[in-house]
Amino acid sequence: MDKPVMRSYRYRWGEGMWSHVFHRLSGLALVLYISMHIWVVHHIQHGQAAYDSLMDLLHKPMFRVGEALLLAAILYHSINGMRLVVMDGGVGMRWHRSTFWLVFAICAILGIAGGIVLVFFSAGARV
Amino acid sequence: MRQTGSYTWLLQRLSGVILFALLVVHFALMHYMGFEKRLYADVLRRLSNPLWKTFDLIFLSLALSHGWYGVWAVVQDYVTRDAWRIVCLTVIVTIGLSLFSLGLVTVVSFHA
Repeated sequence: MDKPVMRSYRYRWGEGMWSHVFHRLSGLALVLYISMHIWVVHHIQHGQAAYDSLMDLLHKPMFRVGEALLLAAILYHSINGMRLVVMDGGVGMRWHRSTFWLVFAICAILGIAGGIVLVFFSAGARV
Repeated sequence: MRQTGSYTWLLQRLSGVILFALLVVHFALMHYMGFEKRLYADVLRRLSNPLWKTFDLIFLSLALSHGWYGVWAVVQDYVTRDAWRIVCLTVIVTIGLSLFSLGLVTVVSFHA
């Protein structure tokens, strides 16, 4: 594998590939989420008592951690999505590596801060 | 398969940008403005306003089309045989339309 001719064919696992892999995985996770979300919300047709007890269940710690993960997926997919739209417009291709890390940093900061609020300081918690 | 790449590419980016704006409103309201915003009474109050119904219906259609079109794009990367692609596309469209109908019924028919 270390022959020079093979070296030129080796796949480059750089920032571009990771940004693509994360975009795809977060997108698939979000499709799965929104599908479950629509199914959950349709229970509102079953009346106030049924719906509110379902919402109480979804406010338990396990689901709030899930909410933080949801936030992380949303942040990455939307902010990296904006990066892709800008680059599709022909702007900033030269800086695609540094903008990937910029997106990553913004997501980490907003995701950790927002996630802590969701898990520990969720307003109006009835538990 | 037909070549419709450039239109769907553009639509995917347009819906993505609009979804970003709608999602900021939706997520901030539902997850950071208090738990009661998710409860029956509050949902009822919002959905009695036609503007919120419109918001939800636009959000629903854009999110589902953007998401399931994305799944179709992933499928096209891995499934090369036309017959299997048609099977996958049928499954994707069926699931997407079923979820759309479920969401549509929920938003439109909901009243006290």
